[in-house]
Amino acid sequence: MPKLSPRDIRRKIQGIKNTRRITNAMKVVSAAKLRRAQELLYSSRPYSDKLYELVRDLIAHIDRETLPLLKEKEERKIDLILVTADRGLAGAFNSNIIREAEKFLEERRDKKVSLILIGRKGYQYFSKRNYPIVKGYDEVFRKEVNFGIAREVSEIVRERFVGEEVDAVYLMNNEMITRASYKPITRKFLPFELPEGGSREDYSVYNFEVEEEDFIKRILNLYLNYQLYRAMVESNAAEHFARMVAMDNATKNADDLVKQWTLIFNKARQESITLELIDIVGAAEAMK
Amino acid sequence: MIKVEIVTPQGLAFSKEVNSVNIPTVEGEIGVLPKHMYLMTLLKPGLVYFDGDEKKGMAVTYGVVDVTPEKVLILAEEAYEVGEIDVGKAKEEFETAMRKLATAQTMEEIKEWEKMKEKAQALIEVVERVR
Repeated sequence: MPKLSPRDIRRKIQGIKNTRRITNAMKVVSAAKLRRAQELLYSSRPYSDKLYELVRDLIAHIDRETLPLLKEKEERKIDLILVTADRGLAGAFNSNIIREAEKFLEERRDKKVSLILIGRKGYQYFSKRNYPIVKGYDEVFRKEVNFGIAREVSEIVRERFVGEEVDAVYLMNNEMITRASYKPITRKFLPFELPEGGSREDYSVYNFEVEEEDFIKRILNLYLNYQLYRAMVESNAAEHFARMVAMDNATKNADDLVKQWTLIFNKARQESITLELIDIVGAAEAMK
Repeated sequence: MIKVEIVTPQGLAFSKEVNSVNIPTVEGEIGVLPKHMYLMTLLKPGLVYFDGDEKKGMAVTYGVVDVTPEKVLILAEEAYEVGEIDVGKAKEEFETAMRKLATAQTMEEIKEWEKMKEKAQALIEVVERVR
């Protein structure tokens, strides 16, 4: 490292301080957004629980063969729905899930896997590489999580599945495991996996005011839309959490750097003072 | 007594034991008392009210109704306390829907705006009915 003058060092410290100010601000913003995202996540749970209950009641007594969305097939052509963030600066949030997706693709190399990408980061990454992409979505998480996109994607994959363009659809997204940790999770989206248990015998006495088949289809669609929406809400909360942690670390690192460079600065200043003193003393000696 | 729960994506909107509940469905308004038979049907935008008292009610939009002898579960896209309804916004939505309907081309567009119109209209009606 070339020797830096005290002035250079001071400039450097100022630079680090400026960066620290930015990372700190981002941390505070992320914390606020995280709180909102988590509220949304927790408040949406009763609905998805109840919807799940309803589907379980309904589905336990349905003949699988009659519903195309439930039909198991040999997996040759697969769709993967990948949920990433729109922005970076969130630690390993995006790179982890992209690596996970790469692994998924690697494991199924002998099959035809197409991608549906929700969130800019994943879209950017995979559109530059040679993968078949059905559709990519950008600016998904801008304001609030966009239910319209969940509905649209769910419609696309349903159509592809029923039209036998694909044999299975998987969904991959980051999910909050506890309040303070997240990780990528892969789930089978279609064919619809039957929720466990809950074979309520009294289902047969259910009375439908509307046409049964139409009704079941609607409920399943609603359920799938909501599953997707929920994956996006989870991912959104995890993203803000990841960014908050990353920015907190960055701020701490900046603090450390400032401390280190302040020491170096003091040393350099001391050194220049000593040199000047030697100069003066030397000159005074010579004058005698 | 029968337990009634109204749940929306925003959270649990209503949960209480009541003597009776009236629900707007696609087939018309139904009244549910305890020990009702099993019933599943689709919800229509309108007023859900309890114990025959329209003043004690919640406005709901589209969704599903699941009735069992012990409980009534209503999954709705939106649910509001009657006092919470933003009439101005509903009227605005109604106007927009009407305008769009006049120029709508595809079936999907028509469906979408019809839905919005019906919803807005139902909300306005609920406010007038309760007043």
